[in-house]
Amino acid sequence: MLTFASAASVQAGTINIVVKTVLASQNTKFADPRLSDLIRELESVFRYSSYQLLSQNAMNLNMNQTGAAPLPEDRVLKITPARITGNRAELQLVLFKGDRQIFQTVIQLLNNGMITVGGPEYKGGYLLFNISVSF
Amino acid sequence: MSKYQNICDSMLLSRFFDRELEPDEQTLVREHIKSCPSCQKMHREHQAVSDFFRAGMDEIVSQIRFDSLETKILEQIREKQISWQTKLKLFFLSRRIIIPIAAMAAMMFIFFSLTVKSPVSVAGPSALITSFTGDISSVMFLETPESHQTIIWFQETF
Repeated sequence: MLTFASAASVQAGTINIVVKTVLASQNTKFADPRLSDLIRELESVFRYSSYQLLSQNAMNLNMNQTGAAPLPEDRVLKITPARITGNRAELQLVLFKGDRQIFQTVIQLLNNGMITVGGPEYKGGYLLFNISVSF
Repeated sequence: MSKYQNICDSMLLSRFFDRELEPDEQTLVREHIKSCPSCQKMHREHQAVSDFFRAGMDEIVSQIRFDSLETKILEQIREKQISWQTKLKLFFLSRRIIIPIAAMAAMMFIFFSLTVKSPVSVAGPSALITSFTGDISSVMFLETPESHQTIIWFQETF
């Protein structure tokens, strides 16, 4: 049944995307239980002691359709799926702060995979944007 | 001294600041700066910018567990035979080299990922980065050691 649903999704050309906005800091010791899997990954690379989920945005996009995830401090992450090649989805990610484009990147993300984009300082810590896809 | 008509040239000073000049040229410009107020001003400004970026980068890098990454990576090397393109990535990680030029890193990453077949036992990264451009001061591409989750870490300009 799951296989059938997945195949149908590919045929329809839609991609499920979830954007989690996380505040990582060293101010306190806190692990948001909704981020347990992600925290385990991040702790292997970073030394932050606190990971807090600030928001979560889910979207279901067709190819070449752009979805937008509102982020803190007037930032917006725009995501546009371009195509599916094998078990990877090609996505264009564009981060804006106000009217200013901060960066744009094109990635090929594994089905049921994720990528974390981080760096902006926020409330004494750093913002991380975790983007996961399934199709 | 006759080698340069104008030592106060910004390009020449920029090469001096980046230590790209020959030793005798480096000495020449250094001596000139001692007696030139405008070049001293440029030197101070350049130093301020360098300190600013170095401080920001040091703070970011201090949060990364290079020791943990290096240990796990070396363990994996011992345990299994891995492809040469992965070894190349490990070389960069183990030497704590950061490549702030996004395009260069991305193109190398993609080139190695797409042109060389990996052994089945080695999982690929969660994301292949085919391009990255932006109005940012630095960017790093990381990969978690166990499940190979891709991380992009950037520093915004102000």
